[in-house]
Amino acid sequence: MRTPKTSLALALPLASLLLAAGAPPAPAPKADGAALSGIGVRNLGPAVMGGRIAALDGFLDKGRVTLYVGAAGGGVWKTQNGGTTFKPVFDRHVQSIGAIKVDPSNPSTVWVGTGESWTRNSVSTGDGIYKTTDGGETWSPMGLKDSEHIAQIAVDPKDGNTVYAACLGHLWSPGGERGLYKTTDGGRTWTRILFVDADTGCASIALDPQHPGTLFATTWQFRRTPYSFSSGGPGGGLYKSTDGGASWVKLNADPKRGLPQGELGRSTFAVAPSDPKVVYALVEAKDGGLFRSDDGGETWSRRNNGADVIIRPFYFSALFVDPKNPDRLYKPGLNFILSEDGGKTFSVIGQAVHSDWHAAWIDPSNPEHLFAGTDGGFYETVDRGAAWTFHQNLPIGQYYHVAVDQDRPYNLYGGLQDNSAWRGPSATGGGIENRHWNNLWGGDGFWVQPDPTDPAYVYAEAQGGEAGRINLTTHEARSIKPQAGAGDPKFRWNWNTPIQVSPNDPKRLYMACQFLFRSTDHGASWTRISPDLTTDDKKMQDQDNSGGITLDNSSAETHCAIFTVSESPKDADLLWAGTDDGNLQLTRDGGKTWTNTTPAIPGLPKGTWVSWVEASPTEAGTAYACFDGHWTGDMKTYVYATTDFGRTWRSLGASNLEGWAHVVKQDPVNPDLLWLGTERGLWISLDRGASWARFEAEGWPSHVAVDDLAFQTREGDLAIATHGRSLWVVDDLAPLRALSPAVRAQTSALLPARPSVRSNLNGNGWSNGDAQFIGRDPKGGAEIAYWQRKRHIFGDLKFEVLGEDGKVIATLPGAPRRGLNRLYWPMTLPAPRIAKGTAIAGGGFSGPRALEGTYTVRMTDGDRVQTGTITLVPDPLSPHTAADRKAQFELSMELYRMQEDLAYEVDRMVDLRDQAEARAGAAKDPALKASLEAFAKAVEARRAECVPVKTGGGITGEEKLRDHLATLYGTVTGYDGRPGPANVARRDALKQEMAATLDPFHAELAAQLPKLDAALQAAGQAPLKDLTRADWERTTAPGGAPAAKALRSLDPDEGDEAEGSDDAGAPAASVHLLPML
Amino acid sequence: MRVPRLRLLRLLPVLLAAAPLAAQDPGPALDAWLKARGGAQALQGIHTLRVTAHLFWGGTQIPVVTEYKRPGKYRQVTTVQGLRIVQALDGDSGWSINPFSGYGGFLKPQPMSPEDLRDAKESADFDGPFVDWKAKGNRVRALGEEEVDGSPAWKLEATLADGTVVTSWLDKDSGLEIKRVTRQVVRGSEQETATVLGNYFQHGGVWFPHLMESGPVRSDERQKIVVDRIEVNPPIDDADFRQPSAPAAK
Repeated sequence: MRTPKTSLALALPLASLLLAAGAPPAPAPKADGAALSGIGVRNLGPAVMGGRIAALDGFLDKGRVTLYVGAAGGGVWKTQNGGTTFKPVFDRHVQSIGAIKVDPSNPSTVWVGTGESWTRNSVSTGDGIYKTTDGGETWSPMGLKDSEHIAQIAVDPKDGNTVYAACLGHLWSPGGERGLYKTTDGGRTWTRILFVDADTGCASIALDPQHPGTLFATTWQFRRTPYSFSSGGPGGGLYKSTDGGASWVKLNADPKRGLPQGELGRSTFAVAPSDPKVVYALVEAKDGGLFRSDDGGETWSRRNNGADVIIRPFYFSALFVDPKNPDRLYKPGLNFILSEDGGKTFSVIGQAVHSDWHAAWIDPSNPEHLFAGTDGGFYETVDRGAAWTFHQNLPIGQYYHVAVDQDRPYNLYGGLQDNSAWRGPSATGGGIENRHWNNLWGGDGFWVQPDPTDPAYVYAEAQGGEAGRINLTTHEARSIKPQAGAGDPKFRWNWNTPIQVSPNDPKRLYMACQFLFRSTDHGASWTRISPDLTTDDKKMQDQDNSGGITLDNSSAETHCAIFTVSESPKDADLLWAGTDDGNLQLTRDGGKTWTNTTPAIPGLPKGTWVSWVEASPTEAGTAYACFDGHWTGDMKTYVYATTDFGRTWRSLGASNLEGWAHVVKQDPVNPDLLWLGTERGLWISLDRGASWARFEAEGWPSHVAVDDLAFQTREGDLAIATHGRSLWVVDDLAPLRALSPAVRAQTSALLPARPSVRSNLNGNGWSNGDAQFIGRDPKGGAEIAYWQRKRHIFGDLKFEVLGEDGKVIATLPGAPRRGLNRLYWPMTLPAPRIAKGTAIAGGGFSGPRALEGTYTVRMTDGDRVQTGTITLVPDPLSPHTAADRKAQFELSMELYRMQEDLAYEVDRMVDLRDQAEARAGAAKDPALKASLEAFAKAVEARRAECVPVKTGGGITGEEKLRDHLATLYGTVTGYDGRPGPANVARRDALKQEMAATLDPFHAELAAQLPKLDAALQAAGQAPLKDLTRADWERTTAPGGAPAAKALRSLDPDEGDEAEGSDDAGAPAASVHLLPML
Repeated sequence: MRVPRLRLLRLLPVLLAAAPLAAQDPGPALDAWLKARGGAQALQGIHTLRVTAHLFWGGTQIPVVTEYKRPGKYRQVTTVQGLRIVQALDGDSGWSINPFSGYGGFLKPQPMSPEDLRDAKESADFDGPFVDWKAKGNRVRALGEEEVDGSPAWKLEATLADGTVVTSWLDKDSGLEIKRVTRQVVRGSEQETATVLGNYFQHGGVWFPHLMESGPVRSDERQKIVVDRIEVNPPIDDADFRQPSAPAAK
């Protein structure tokens, strides 16, 4: 039933939609990831700012550049056109990439070492080494699962089965698979051929391409804690082997060789491909720097120890030597620097490129041509670095957080690792392009919160609590970071300082260091509402001396700070605060008194970082919390819930969960539905955390780190912040929320969906070539959601939309997928039949838009038939009234009918013309022959008044009555408002034109047909058969001519006659529009 | 008016790529597939085939009719507002008529590009790449089991002599094909298409999918084709596949 509702309707209760057809009771199937993931997800990007590229390798194939790009948290991307387009090829695996190596003797084989090796505070981990033998289509794990970080891979250019993997091992704890590993059987077995101790890994491997048994490797002792980093120690060393790693010479053991002595930090080697006697070493040491050997590594001389050379070795320990010139080498760092004299001097190149360079690949056929990866994405130069192209088509942003506003369409906000804070729309009507994103702030980006009191402002921050309130129009910003007063202790701001807006009072804002602050004046002033909520352990506050051999204190290790804050939506005085040193504090009196609830949490190691706390949106005593132990090497997934204000906690850490936990949220509508983001994916629970299913929707990287989630409650959407694959949205959670055990037990069931907006968004997209990343809009159309217990294999699965008169106005095929499914009715009636000519009528491809209201949906699954409803609502952004839309619909339908009338008449003309010509050809009486030919010619002349008949090419410029009708129809249907007087006048004019053509035609038929038929019968020939409207409607379908009849003929006019009768008729799934008109 | 190019040639034929007729592949998956489709005898009994379908394109539906005839004959007609796109293969030579192709192409048969000819030849082989694969120069291998959206399936791969790689997933319960990925190299660049199959009906003793959803790999954006009718062994003249001379304009 369609009702003339015009207001925004709420989704109907589930009970009214689920009209089960008497299915026998059955136990609910397990809510596994595959069954739930049919809800789908869309990637918004952005790709405008890129993300950290950690590894890069490639090859030339007939002059084309194929590259594999390894992102720090975004998997592996392959391009076969030098970066114009990319596809992700590693989406079912860990997304943190440490090393990539293409087999030089067989480029279809590629090795990927997971676990980024640039061991910054936010680095992720891997689970071993992978290999593809089909150019990245499929990947096989090849061991080294406990290596955690793989820094480099080398493949013997003469034997692809011999591979070396430089494994760092564990970053936050001793042990793991550390050292240099070698396989000689293509990865089936590995032997550790260089090892120092449980605290030291192998940081680099290089080989002599002419003598692949000659190897150069470095070892590195390192350790990260939640509050410090240490690079260097006695385990560090520089090694050479000439027997494929069977034996090693420690080069830095002998001072005569010219290399630094004492403790070493992170170091690396590079062999010049064009002259392997030339070897470079970049050494972290007290007297470190760049060294060069001209005798294959036997003796060395220091070439450079400038700031750009020795900067931050743990992050920039790499060298790239020109493939043709041994004296030319590139050094990534804060800047990309180039030496043309073997390292004596360097020049900075890439001034307009994002800082923090990590990876490069030099075209071996043209060394002027380079590709490089930075913290801010992927770049290319064709002039040896003088100028660079930024490839803004890799959506690999490392978001820390996401927030949404209440705009229409709503916007998403978030901050990214080393890529500032950004705002962009959830939909545009034409795809979400890079140009739609606006940079808000600077530095590393973290929390961004739209100001709910004024949509013109937003709160954003950089590392260490450097927060501001920003005017979105002018981008003027005011710093709002709370400042210490006289006598205050030093404030300790976590790298990722929390900023929260109260769910109860939009004026109330929170920020936190070791103290919790509250502001009610947009951050202009702050009130401290807590004591130091941390352990205040001084041992964890020595960041001034962090870094090891090379001091490194960027605020990334600042510790003993509040990390997560949540005010209960049910009680404004109830606040949770979790600290990075393991306290989960609760106040129920607005901050006057606080209680640390951590001791009540079972199974949680003391001091474990509180990564998330979230007060329940429905129950004051309920809260959910995540804890992150990876900072001490504990990779378990810690998730807990309390229902009694923290007095007791229940673990939700099911055994199938993977990755340390970042965020847990209760669905705002269905309290049984929980969402969990971990370092290895997104997880869904339909039973309050008793069990979890991995989200694995099509296109979604199933093991990506999910750092934050945000509900857009008006739309029922879920926004997802990934740390490596930018932002995603699950549209309309209503179907998922309805998946109770009773529903899942049914063979199939229609599910509720949110009201579908008759959106008028038009993004005005443009053809910008293939090199653009375009984020996806929500799927257009009215959503129909359903569940099926098993995959649909046999028989029809179809969905029909019924109008108020019970007639079917659309039929859609269902998807066979097991579990949850969605499909979309375009919200249009079928396109009209268009009179056939020698060109298309562009305005006639769509049907009129269905009016707002409630429509019946009928699901047919074999013998099982169910009905439900869907609701179409007007676009709140539209200025048009219901009366306007009704007027538009009525004129659309009038023009629709006029077009179909004309289509019938033209088919009738063609049919009569062809019959007349055929009979003329067979006529023996010259007079009859002449009469038939004259009749055919007259009919053809009438047809030529109706439709284009020129066949000279695709663009004839010929516009006839049909085209004028279609143009007006397209104009009216394309605008949702009331048709203007000009439209109405044009309708009247075209009516007159139709009459001026068709009335004489009808008169001619009335006059001629009886005479011709009599003459034909007298001559023994069959009379002409005039196509009736009923026959025409029976044998045609909206949207095109009868397909089967069209099969044989090449000419659009010849189809019917050439084929003869055919019983195919209209497609079985076609719609029957006319009865409802 | 920009008319999107309809790349139909490879959409419909997936419903025909069927089971092995001979016992070249001893794999249980192929055996089960053959049995599930209706058996070798029923498949061998198909000499001609006509498939009437429609594809969903925005808010409209476009009729598509495809005819097959052994050996290697294929013809597909897509009708848009009465204008017909014809793609056909007469054994070795392929031709097409595309009224949307712009100047000079209107209604005049044009020889197929090498890529389209390859597509047409692959489509015309309505037994599919797993039948007589050795004789065709294909390589076939079983890739074990893999779930398709949670449904357990056998995974098979055929590498055709022309380099096209077809990966098929066969539903373990029914034995029927439920997903296919075709990977080709076109002018040096890889192109991939994923197709989901469903709604099987039996015609002439053989089970055929009546639903095909095709689109890019790793995406849920798919174009749907629904089969309305399948005629087994209808009379089809060889002449229908041959390239005609350009028709006179009316």
